[in-house]
Amino acid sequence: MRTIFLGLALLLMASCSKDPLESLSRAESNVYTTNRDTSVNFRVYRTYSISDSMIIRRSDGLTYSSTSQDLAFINAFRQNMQSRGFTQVSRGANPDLGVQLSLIISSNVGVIALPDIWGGWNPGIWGPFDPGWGWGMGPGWGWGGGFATYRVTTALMSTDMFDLRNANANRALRVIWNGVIQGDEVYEPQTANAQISQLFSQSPYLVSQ
Amino acid sequence: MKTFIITALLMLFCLSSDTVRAQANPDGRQFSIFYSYGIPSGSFSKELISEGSPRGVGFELTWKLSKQWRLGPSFGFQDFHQKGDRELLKPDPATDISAVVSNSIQIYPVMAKAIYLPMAEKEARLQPFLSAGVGGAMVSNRQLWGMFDVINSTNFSVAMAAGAGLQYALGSSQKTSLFASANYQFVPYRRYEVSNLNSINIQAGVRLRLNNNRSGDFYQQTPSPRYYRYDNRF
Repeated sequence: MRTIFLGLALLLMASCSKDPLESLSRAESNVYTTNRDTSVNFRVYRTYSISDSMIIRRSDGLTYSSTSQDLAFINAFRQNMQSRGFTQVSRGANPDLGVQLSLIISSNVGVIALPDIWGGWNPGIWGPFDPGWGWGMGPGWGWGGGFATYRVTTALMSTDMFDLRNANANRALRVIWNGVIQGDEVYEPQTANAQISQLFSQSPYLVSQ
Repeated sequence: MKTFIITALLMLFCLSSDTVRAQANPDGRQFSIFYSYGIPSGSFSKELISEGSPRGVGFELTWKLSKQWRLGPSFGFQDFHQKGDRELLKPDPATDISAVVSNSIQIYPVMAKAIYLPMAEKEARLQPFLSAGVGGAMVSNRQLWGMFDVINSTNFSVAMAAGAGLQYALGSSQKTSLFASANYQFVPYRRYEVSNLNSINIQAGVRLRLNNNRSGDFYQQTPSPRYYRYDNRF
């Protein structure tokens, strides 16, 4: 009896511990990763061309998107490139660099059993969640209760910079810089400038001339 | 798994405490429950978490060995958590990672604890005491970069503690006492570039005597109730 009491007490204590995820704001949840080709001197590049649409890559293929949400990120990238001394030119004007922004979406699907108390249907689960991000849940039916499928969707944004200047000589389109944004706040247009600026602020070598 | 290990450890210590009980006065059981404020020290404070933790509690169940000595199992919990500023991390020359680094450490010490009351002979309400414990601790260590777990592990470590405090007995029966103490807890946890999880724990709580006689914390030279029952048959 004493053991059970103490065991329960310790479990109760453990449940009082602070969840580190709960203390993070959405902006704080984001992780920004930049990779560079260390053999490249970015100062030799002067001009760039950026795609006017975002690639949306899902498990079933990719599409191009040019919504206001996508353009917010593309414009933020333009502003940061300009502030670092790069000049935007059209694709036909032999740019030194090519830039492409992509959103990579992956979904994991699973099945959970529902006890009878749910009645096989809970409209509350459908209601509060954004169908695009986070959880979506569809009901199923079974004896004495039911089952449900759930889907967890995660997204990351990737910004890739290609070396077009040396593409012919290299006989390859090399990615010389890449920035990745992961977290809760990815793809939110109101913070597009802050997110793209973070990628540039941790890449001080990304300067022309 | 964590629940199973904690429960198993609890059972182990409760069973081992029967040995102590067999040698101690059966009227001298005392249950203590206390709040604990943990302050990381040494490299724990410098390298991992510098903020104090207001989230800690503990329990003790001790048996009287003599007027001055008590012995029994002690269980605790302390939750350390700290969210840092956004940091720029450089895992290799080509890569830079910007993330808010959070560290979350939960320590569950389970120890055999001895309490020494140097002035117990004087039977005063206010008694200083010294304590020392040895055993182990389950350590749950989690580090996040942003919302992503970089470290998430639970391990066992040796744990020791030493402390000093004061207790004050209440009421005419002195069954209940309040106490406050300061303890240094030594947890030589060596994983993920952490060298230790030592902390100073400030504790305050209540001690309750579990027996029904009026002897309180003082050793009685009387037979146990078991013998009384036996004698009453004749």
